[in-house]
Amino acid sequence: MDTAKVVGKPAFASFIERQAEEVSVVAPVARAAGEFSYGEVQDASSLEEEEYIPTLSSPKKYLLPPQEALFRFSSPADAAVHEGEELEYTADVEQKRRILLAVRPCDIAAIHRMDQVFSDTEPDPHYLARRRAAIIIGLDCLEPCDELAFCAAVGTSDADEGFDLLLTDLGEDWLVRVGTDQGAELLEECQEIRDATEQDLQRLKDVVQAKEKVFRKCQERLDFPGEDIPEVLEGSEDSPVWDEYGDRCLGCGRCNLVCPTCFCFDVEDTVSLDLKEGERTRRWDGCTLLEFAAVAGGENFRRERSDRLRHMFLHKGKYGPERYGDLYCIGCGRCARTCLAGIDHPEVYNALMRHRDKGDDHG
Amino acid sequence: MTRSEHHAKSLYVPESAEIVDRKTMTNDETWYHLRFKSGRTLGHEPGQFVQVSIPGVGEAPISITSPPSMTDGFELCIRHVGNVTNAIRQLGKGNVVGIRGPFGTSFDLAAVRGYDILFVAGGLGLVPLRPVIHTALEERDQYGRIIIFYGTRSPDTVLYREDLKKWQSDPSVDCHITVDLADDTWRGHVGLVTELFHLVSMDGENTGAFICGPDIMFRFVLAEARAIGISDDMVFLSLERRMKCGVGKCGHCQEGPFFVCRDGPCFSYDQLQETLQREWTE
Repeated sequence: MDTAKVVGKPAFASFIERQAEEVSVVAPVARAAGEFSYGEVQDASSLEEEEYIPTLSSPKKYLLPPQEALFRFSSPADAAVHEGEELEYTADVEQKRRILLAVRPCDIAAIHRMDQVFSDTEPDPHYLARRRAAIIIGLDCLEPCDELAFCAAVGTSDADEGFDLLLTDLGEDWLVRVGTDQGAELLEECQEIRDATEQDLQRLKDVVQAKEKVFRKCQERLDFPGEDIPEVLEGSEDSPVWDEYGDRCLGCGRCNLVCPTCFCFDVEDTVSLDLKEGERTRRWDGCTLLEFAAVAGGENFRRERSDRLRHMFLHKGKYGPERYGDLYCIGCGRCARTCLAGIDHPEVYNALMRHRDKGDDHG
Repeated sequence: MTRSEHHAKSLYVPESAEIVDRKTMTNDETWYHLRFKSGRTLGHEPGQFVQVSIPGVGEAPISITSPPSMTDGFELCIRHVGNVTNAIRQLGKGNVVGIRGPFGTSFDLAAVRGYDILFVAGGLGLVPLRPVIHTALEERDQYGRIIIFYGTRSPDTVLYREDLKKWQSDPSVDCHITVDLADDTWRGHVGLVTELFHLVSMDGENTGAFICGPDIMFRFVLAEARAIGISDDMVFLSLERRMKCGVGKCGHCQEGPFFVCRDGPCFSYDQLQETLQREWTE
């Protein structure tokens, strides 16, 4: 069981301000009316937003940047290749300490899934170095962010782990749940903080209980329990639902770009104009894009939009859970918010369920 | 150096390997003999692949074509179809490329010990099968009959002519070659590789099969293998997919639940049933 502390909001704000002088602090910031995204901050004002609107993309970008160098080659590549000289490769693994502030429970769940992927079999040094250097200060959601979120249906509206610290709004104070030793250590620098009393814990309990009612509609976006998603997807490969939504899908990859659990990347070499140095770079890629599964010989293993859309759903809802035990859709609703064709994941899952119940022979 | 320290440095960084020999095999394919500059041996199993890179151009997954018993470097047979493989085409003896690997699963020869073995290769599919064939022949007494079916587009696209000649003259090997389209020089069989199944009578229940070729070929060859009674868990195949990282991260090679670079490229038909059923049995 994690320990809990209580701190007044002004004291916590000055704690964050002091941290921001030492390390990078990132949090949701307003970019335009009603639009938020994660960015560097100097204070804790992100925690004070009255009307929280989900960020366009997730804090994933600080662990897996949209683009990053895997290594640089510094000696003239051409001569090395042709004259047999040793190439000098340098791989920088960034380890800048960074506080991810006001990370919502859905995104905390997403980071946990990214950790699973990048630690699997051959650990990815770039991701893991950033992850180790990151401190996650979560912020509990007391109400759903909008009508597209379905976190409560997939069990990510509450965070029990995956954070260093988790803040819950108790009005004048923050109740701070401590998830890790790193979190506890950090809090030592926070002034005017005290252990939570029985009374504080009762207030927390009341707040958490109130959530259940407030999130009911969010939970009901899915017509069946979220843990049944893998089962609903099982044997759905030939469902007409994929053709229906595949027809609507533009194959633009926007959903992949904003998804906090999409981890696929492309790799590309770039060379300086004088051809003396270059780097191998990885950048985010998306499985809904046409070329994603195409090989050099010309074969494309998922040429149809419906094939690609289905693959994305199966990866999030079946293959991910089969390998790691967790749904890889965390119900944040970002894909639906950004989709030009209005494809909404719970709607697709519900349609699959209805077709399954009807016992369609899938034509 | 601990494993994690080693990985922190080397997961995506290639090692330099020198081209010690090369030979033009066909219009589109070249054979290369490579040796690590560090002197280390590749240490691969038959069926695995490496990522070959040219700094400034990129990286491409290439099957290893030499058997593990060859320890003086290793061999690749590269079809020049993309940016990287066309850049490699310009290289010759003494030039250096980057290598990462070996990666992926290998062909499970142990599973067919005591059985007859059928190899079915289509076109470039002979490349990953060659080290398996060589290894099986090195331990010839471990297996029953060894049957090789090789089909390719036309006589000028035949790979590994010396190997094929050797296998055809080896009384312990039953090697058949066919081309889709013959020319005046061709004296052998003409037709699809599946037709070779009708030339040789086989004891399917006591046979294990290793299959590699273009995706379209699998569907028909797998049906033939079933027809002669080879059980699905005794059929092994190697898949070609787009790969960028080779270590189960970039996602490009996903086929159903599998990352082909990590969970493959060698699979048993059993494993792939559910995933590729639609594609291969319709």
